Formats: sequence, C-alpha cells, structure tokens
Amino acid sequence: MIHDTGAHHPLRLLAAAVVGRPVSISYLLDPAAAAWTDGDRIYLPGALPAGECARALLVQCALLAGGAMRVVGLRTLVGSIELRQRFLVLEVERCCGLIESRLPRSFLDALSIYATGASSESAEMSLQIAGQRKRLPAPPTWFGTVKPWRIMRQNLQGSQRKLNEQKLSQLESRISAIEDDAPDDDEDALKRNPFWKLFSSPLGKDGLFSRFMQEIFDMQSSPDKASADSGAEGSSEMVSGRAGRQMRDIANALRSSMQLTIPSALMAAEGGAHRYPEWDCEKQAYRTDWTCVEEVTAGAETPVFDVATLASGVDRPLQRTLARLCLGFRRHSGQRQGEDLVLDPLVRLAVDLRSGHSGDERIYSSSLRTRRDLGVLILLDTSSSTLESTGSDRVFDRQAQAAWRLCRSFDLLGDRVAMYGFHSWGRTLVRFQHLKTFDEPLGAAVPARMGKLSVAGYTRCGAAIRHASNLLNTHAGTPYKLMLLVSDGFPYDDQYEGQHASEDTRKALEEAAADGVACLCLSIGSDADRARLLQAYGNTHFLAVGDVTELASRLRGAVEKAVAAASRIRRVSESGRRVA
Amino acid sequence: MQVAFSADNAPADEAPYYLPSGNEVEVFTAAYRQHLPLMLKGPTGCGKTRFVEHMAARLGRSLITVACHEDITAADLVGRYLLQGGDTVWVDGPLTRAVRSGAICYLDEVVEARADTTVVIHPLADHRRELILERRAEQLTAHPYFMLVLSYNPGYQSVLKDLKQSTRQRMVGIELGYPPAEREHQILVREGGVSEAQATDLIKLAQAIRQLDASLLPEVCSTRTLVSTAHLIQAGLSPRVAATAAMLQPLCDDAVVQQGLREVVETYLPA
Ligand SMILES: Nc1ncnc2c1ncn2[C@@H]1O[C@H](COP(=O)(O)OP(=O)(O)O)[C@@H](O)[C@H]1O
Ligand SMILES: [Mg+2]
Repeated sequence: MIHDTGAHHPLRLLAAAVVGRPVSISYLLDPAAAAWTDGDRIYLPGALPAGECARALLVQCALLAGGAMRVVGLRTLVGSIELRQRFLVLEVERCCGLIESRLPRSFLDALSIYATGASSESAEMSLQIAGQRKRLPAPPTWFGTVKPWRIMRQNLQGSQRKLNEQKLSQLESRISAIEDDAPDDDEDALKRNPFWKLFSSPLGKDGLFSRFMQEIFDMQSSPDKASADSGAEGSSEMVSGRAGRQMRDIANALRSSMQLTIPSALMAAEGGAHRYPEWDCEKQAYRTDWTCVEEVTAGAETPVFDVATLASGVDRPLQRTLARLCLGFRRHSGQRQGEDLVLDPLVRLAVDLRSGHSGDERIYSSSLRTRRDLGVLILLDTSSSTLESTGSDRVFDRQAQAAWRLCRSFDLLGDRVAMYGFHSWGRTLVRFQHLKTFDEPLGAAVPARMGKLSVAGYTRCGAAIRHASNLLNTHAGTPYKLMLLVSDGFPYDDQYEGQHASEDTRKALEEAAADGVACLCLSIGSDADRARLLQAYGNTHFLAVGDVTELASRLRGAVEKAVAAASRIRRVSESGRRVA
Repeated sequence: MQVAFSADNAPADEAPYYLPSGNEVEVFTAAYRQHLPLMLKGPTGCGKTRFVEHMAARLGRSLITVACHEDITAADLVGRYLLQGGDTVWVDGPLTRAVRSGAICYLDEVVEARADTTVVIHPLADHRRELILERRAEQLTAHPYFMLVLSYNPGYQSVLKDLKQSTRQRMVGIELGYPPAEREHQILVREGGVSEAQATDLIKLAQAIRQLDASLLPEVCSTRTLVSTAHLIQAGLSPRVAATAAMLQPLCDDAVVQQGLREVVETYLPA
C-alpha cells in the first residue's frame, strides 16, 4: 500500500500557523503560474525556489486570514488586469497589517517598498480605492494574482432541485467528450462571451444557475436537439458543445454548489492528501494510486443537525460492556496479594508495627489485566444518502448520535479515540472531515465540529477504510486497533458500484486486518440494504441494530469477533510473509 | 520522593526576576495578608514557579516547593517515622516544616499527586488552618505567616475536583497564561540575553506556532522554551538550530509534523 509520507507537503503547518486555521494547498504544475487563493484553498506554483515559495505563500495566507476574497463586488474585477493588480496591492497591505504580529520580520521588510499610503480598512474599501485614480505601486510577481471569476464560480448557490447521480454522470460524460483547448485562466476572454451576460444581467446568478439546471435536467440523448430546443441566450451555445470551456465551468459550478472543489488534472492536492490503490475485480489487480483522500476541517455554513440532540450524560450500560474489551496487563503496587513484595511499603509497615500502629498491609505488587490497550477510530458516514428519513428522524441524526456515544464511552474508559466524518465525490476526492484526532482531548470542540459537518456526496468505502487503517497504524499507538464504520448504506460512488465496489471494500477490509486493524460496520436503524451490506462486509464485519440503546447488548460480541478475525488474518499473513 | 527545598529559612534580598502580566502580584499579596490559600492555574512553562519564587522573596518568606508526582502520598507531605538503629524516629515532611516555620509551601502540579493528599490539605486550606499528624496524634496550628500555594494545568484531569467545595471557595485563584507579546519580548531580552531583533523574531515565531490548533499540534511552545532557545543562541548556536533544539524537539515526535515545523522556523528565523 502506498502511503503519503508527507514529504511533499511541508508547508501545511506554516499556512495553518499564519492563517490561524488549517488550510489546504494545491500545487500548480505550470511553472509560469501565479499563486492565488479562492478564499478557501491556496494554489501555489510548485516550482518556486524554497525562499520565494514561502513569501508567495505568506501573501496568500494573509489574504485568506483577512477575508480579501469574501468581498462583495468581486465581479467588477473581471476583465481588467489593471484593476485586479491595484486591488491586490491594497489588499496585501491591509491583510498583512492585520496579522503583522505573527509575520516574519524579513517578509515585512520585503513588503515595505510596496506601501500604498492608502490605509484601506476593508476589502470593499480597497475595491473602491482600486477604481479611483490614486497612484499605486505595481505588485511584484510573488504577490500572485486574483481570480475573481474562479471565486465567483465557487460561490454559486445551489438550486433547490437535487442533481441525481445519473444526471451528473450524463453531464460528465458529455464534458469529457468536449475538447478543452483554451487555457483555463484566461479571465478576460470570458467577458467577450455571450455567456458572461448572464452573470452581469439583473437576474444575477440565480437566473443563470436555474437555467443551467433546467438545461441539465431536460438534457436529451442528442446534444444537438437539446441546443436546438433551448432558446435561452448564451446557454444554447454552451450545450451545443462548441463552447467546451463554459461547459466545464458549469460542471464545476454544479460541483462547487455541492461544496467541493475539483482538483484539476494540473494540480496535485496538498493539505494532507493521501493516495491509495483500489482493487479492480475484473482484472484481479490493483490500480495503484487510484484514489486520493484529503483531511479537511468541517466547515458547513448551515448546520445539518442540532448538536443539542447529542446525549450529554454517560451511557453506563454501553460503558460497562466496553470496559472489558481488549485489556492488557499492568503492574499495580499497593496490593494485598501478588507476585512481588514492594520494598517501600514493606519498610513502612515494619516501622508502623514497631511503633505500635496497625499499618497498611498492601505491600505487594501484581500484574492485573487493567491496561486499556485499544485505539478506536470512528468513521461517520456523511454522504447525502444519510439525509433520508425513515420514520421520525433522519438516518444521519441517529448515526451521529451513535458515533458520539461511542466516542465518549471509549474516551471515558481511557482508550485512544479518533473520529472523522467521511464522504466522496469520485476517486480523486475522498474527504475525511476532522472531528477528533487521537491526541486531542475530548472537549466541547468535538460536538461543535460535528455541528459543522457537511453532509453530501457518496461513499467510497475502500479508500476510507484504507486511510482509516493507515491513521490507526500510524497514530493510535496501541496493540489493539478497532475501526468502527457508522454507515447506512452500501459502497457507492462515481464509477464505484455493484461488484467492483463490494470487492474493493472487502479487499480493503482484508488489508486492514493484515495490518492488525479490526473493522466493524455499524448500521443503526436503517433496514434498507441490509442484505447488500452483509454482502459487502460479511458477517464478521457487520452489525445492524434497531437503535442506539441496542449497542450496549450487542456491540461487545461483534467487536470481539472482528478483533479475533483481524488477529487470525494477521497471523496467517505474517506466516505467509515468513514463508515467502 | 522528589522534594525540592529552595531558599529554606533564607529569604533572598533580591527577588528573582518576574514581569507581571496583570494584577497577579497584588492578588497574591492580598491573599497572603488575609491568610488565604492560593491556586495558580496555567499551562506548563508560563511562569508559575517563577512567580511564586518572586513573591516569596518579595514578602520575605522562605519557600518550600514540592514537585508533585503520581506517587506522592500524604506521608510524603506530612512526614513519617523512620528506622534508626533499633529506634523509630519521626521526621517532618516539607508541608509540616512550612506549617511550623511560617514558610510558603508551594505544591507544584498538585493534580499529579494522589487523591489522598487532599485529606491533609483540607483542614489547612479552610478556616481551621490546621495540620493533623495522624501518626503522632498531633494537631498543629499553622504559623501566622504560613501560606499554601497550589498550581495546576487546567488542561488535565484534576484532583481538585476532590477538594470540598467549601475548601475551594476559600481559595484565591489566579489564572496565568503566556505573557502578551510585548511582555514576553521584554522577558526574552532580560532573561535570555538576546538582542531586541532576535527577541522579535522569536516572539513572532511563537505567535505563529500558537495559532496551530490541537489537531495539528497537541502542545504549543511555552515562555520557558522561548527562554531556553534564547539561552542556546547566547551559547553560540544559530537561531534556527537553537529553536529546533529547544522549541521544536520537545513539541512532538511525529516526523511529518517536525518537518512542517522546520519549514515554519526557517521562514521566521535567520540561518
Ligand atoms: N512573567 C515572567 N517573568 C520572568 N520570567 C518568566 C516569566 N514567565 C516565564 N518566565 C521564564 O520562563 C521560565 C519558565 O517558567 P516557570 O515558572 O518554570 O513555568 P511554570 O512553573 O509555569 O511551568 C522561567 O524560568 C523564566 O525564565
Ligand atoms: Mg452513502
């Protein structure tokens, strides 16, 4: 299995330190590219010499921290390089000023020659000053660039109608059929396209977007017919296939309204990206580096569920059954009986007896099975299918509550616990939303992050299991390792269905077991697809319960079975390795 | 047993350097005057020990410090009988000595101590100000100048929850954090002996590292590690080498995180 060693993304901590929160970085392979940010992620030319790279990164970090890309009216920057440059110089100065106390001295020195004297106080004000006649210094190349169009595209709001898988794949196959020859970042050429009018029309982006949606939902088998039928200005040109770039833009817009960004083929994702293989059951071989898993901060703007519904008390029955799982030996002194005498209390007892006291007879030490030897990683399914409701509440609510209960119970018992929400959009975009790492204490931050989980997308189980297993092996540090997958449904993602998906999931489970990780998929109160789940996970790795309270009586047996299976497979694979 | 005795019965004429961040000197003094026990909260390396040393000297009291750990028992604090030849001899523990002589007794990182130590702390910390020597069937009333000071790091599980609410309520609390940037700068120049510019670089680096959230880095760099870095620079190491050794190495062992942090250091400090 290929693990990312991290050698390729050393700048993640620097960016997080300067911005004040975790930030993803993508490297642009084009050596002539300029650094930029979309207000969420930083795009950095990968070929810069080390020193210059840090400078370019610090500028983008400051723009992010100062919210430069959140400005209302970004649209006015499209089409004028000069305006963009002026805005950039003003904003770099303003944003760096905001976090001056934590920017390096040498960097601030380098900045000082680009002082504008405009003392802008907000991004809106910078936009205004940029449009005036005041003389401003030209920005150096390491200031990077602003890409208003790309940012606007990212912020398009989704429409009410859901885009189903079939439509999306239809759309994508059509896009891939279109040759994409124009360079992607030619911002100014856009303005000359009729399509642009939709953006600048009084109807605004909503009009544009709903028109696109309509287009896609009504898409017919023949693209030409579709375009002939469509009377909307501009849009006909897009669907006809002649304006391939716009088509791709629409697809990107659609995707981004589902809160994601597509790492383009020209970029290598940073920000904790890890590559894993996938099992191709037809060829009976691995596709190496096929999937890409990224760890991200949960940051949905509107909470999908009410954190107050998370149980605050202790689930005693659950805790009691989990208390006896996976214990190791630990030496305890101060015992009334045991294998060894301990000198200190022995002397104390002798003194006490001599001076006429009764004394403490706990003078032995003994080895008892009390050490918590378990590391648990809880993976919460945050794919959109969990938003369906069965009965009174949604599957997601029930699963989140169960995950939280498990997390708390294991943590209180002294086990090492980590928790992530996972979902995916195709093989290059499997996301782990960070809820708790092994090393963090379980505090109020964890439910707060749960409230910010974004619930969307699909379920590429194989990649998720591989990454979780990797995390357990590198960060749990305990002899026993357990992965709990709290998921409603079967493996399903873009080009990840049916037998291929089940076999890859099973393969991933085998790999995990060979690495000593026990896996258990928990399905809580969703009867749907139980048979298919059993098929993907098998008996040892699957437990379905009606509701959370049933966990107390059934979880322990299931975990023990999974742990036993993992150690069995491990022994076999180890002896196999020895023979080979 | 790890008991450190410092300046026992010998109040220093010049107080160790301590630069206050707020009104902690006034609060400490008032608590001392009113015979109230004190608890200091704050992360490791933020200056709690230095503060107590400074105050003891300022108030002209000797200081008895006990660095607590998980094997500290009540007997370690109070005292015990020892065998000497064929006889048993009573020896006072550090807390008893402080109670008798009117010293300030500082229980550093008290949360590390076993829960049974709270049994002896109770009657001392509440209005009785008494220490009970159970083994000797003796009851000591504290010297009027005796003061009990506890410190702990609020991030950890706390035995203080075992303290009776009535006792806690009689305690005066002071919360210390890392000093604000300009104060920490002053401390670095004075304690670490580095130049103004070098201190600025180190403070900026610390400000940045302290932004990292717990998922990336469980601990952050403390004032103590900054002072140590300054000392290494004084000893002739380059700022980068000094910061790597004194600030980064203690933070974490993860190779990937270390590499990321090295990148941060190289961005902030000259070679
Ligand atoms: N306010 C301060 N004034 C002077 N020195 C300080 C201050 N805060 C921290 N220090 C420095 O930091 C070092 C570590 O502080 P210390 O008191 O040992 O921390 P703590 O007891 O909180 O773990 C001290 O030796 C001193 O050099
Ligand atoms: Mg799903």
